This record gives sequence, structure tokens and C-alpha cells, in this order.
Amino acid sequence: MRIRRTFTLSEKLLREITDFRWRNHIPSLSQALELILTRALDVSSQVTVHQEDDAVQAEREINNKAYRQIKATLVHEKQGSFVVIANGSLLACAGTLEDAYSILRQKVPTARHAIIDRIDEKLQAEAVWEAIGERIS
Amino acid sequence: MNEYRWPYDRSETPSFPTIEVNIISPTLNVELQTSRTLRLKVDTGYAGQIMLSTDLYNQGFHLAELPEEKFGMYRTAAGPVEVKRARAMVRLPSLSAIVEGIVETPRRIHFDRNLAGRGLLQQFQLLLDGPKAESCLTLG
Repeated sequence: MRIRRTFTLSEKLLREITDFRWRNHIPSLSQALELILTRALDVSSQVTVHQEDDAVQAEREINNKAYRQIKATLVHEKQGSFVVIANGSLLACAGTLEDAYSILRQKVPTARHAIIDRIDEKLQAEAVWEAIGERIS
Repeated sequence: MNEYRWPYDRSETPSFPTIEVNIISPTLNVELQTSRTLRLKVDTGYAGQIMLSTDLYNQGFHLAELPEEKFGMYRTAAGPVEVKRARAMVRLPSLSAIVEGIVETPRRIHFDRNLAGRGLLQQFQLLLDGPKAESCLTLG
């Protein structure tokens, strides 16, 4: 039995579903949506959602905001050193990671989150994880 | 030249190559002798250095996290997986040198394994001896 319901989608999402429909020669938009949802549910059944600790998330937001505010200055002045940010402020610039750890333990022993960043370091933002059917939970 | 050998993990069939490392986070003990020894599954399909389980990452690595703009994204057969990243000190047992490494864990889904990826393995010679079910790591 098929049931008719009304949903509201963003314009962007609707456009992507429509593109998916035409690309795969699917007769109707409903069938395209059904196929997409079925596949998404298949994947979701293998995954356990991780809910992050609120305190960690709150401190992460504060520390990242501080990082964005001082980043431009740090790029010019602190290249190569380990920048330590906790409680929404810059604690120190350490010469080694071990020193950065020590500073954290001494200055903010009760912090739940901190940033340790090597200012000039570039990391790969995106990559392919090759495993076919990688089970992620 | 130093050689380290570890038996494959036989909990799966065929058995799985592994290596052992010590990983130190800010809240784990400072002394190397008491740092945590971890057995990592070798995953050459994973481009990063070390992927930690959610539970292990939660034991202190939030205190050495990279800024969110340096978090990563992996495309997998199950869809994109966003990972958070932290800075850790990594040491191979019986080796005095410590290397700085990046550990990761999926941000929004629970992950229950610990993996060594190509980013870590490229620093060593690693022989996978299938018939003996042993990983042999050589430091030149």
C-alpha cells in the first residue's frame, strides 16, 4: 500500500533529488525519493549515532571562536610553535607538544576541551577511505 | 636495524595484520612507561595516521584537538564520514623516539576500532608475513 503525505524540502535538496532522478532514468520523482531514502536507511541501520558531551561541545565552540579571532596574528608571529587555546583564550605558544601538554595540565586542569595547533601545518582535508562496505560502528 | 614483530589478530578470518604503539594524550600519564599500549589494525585503505575508537578518543584527546577548520572528511562506501582530529605523541614499544601524530575519530557516529593508516605506515618498512600470520616492522 502506498500512502500520500506532504513534506517540505529545501529547494537545493529537491534539485539534487530531481538531478538524481533524471541521471538514473527513474520514471517519477516519488520513486527517486523512495530509492534514496531506502538506501539511506540501509546505511543508517549499520551506524550508531554518537552524541557528543555538551560540555565538550560548548568549550569547543568557545575555543574555536577564539582561534578564528587570533589566527591572523598567530600566522605572522608564531609559525612553527604549538599554540595552546583553552577557556576561550590563548594560554601559551609552546616549543614542543610535550610542553603544550604540560601547560594544559598546569593552567587548566579542569578544562574539557582545548586546541593545540601548529600554525603553519597543512593537513589533507578530504580523502577516500577505500574499504568497500566499510562498517563504521 | 631494529625489528618488531606482532602476531595477526585472529579474531577475524582471515586474520588481520596489527602493529602496537603507545599513544599519549594530555590526560594520560606523562611517564612513557605508563602510556597506553594499543594494538592497531593495519588498514592500507585508510589515508590518515591513526583512527581511534570513540571511547578511546574521549579519554583525553579533546584536550589536544585541532581547530575545527582542520577536521577532515572521508568518502566511504557508506557515505561521507566527518572526523575530528587531535594531536598525540606516538611511540613504538622498545623505541626511545617519540613521533608527533594526528589521531582521528568519526565526529557523529560511534566507532569501535583502532586503525593504523597509510599516514603512519609510510614512516616504516612493514612486512606482512601471511603464512606466519605476523607483521614485521623494521626501523632503518
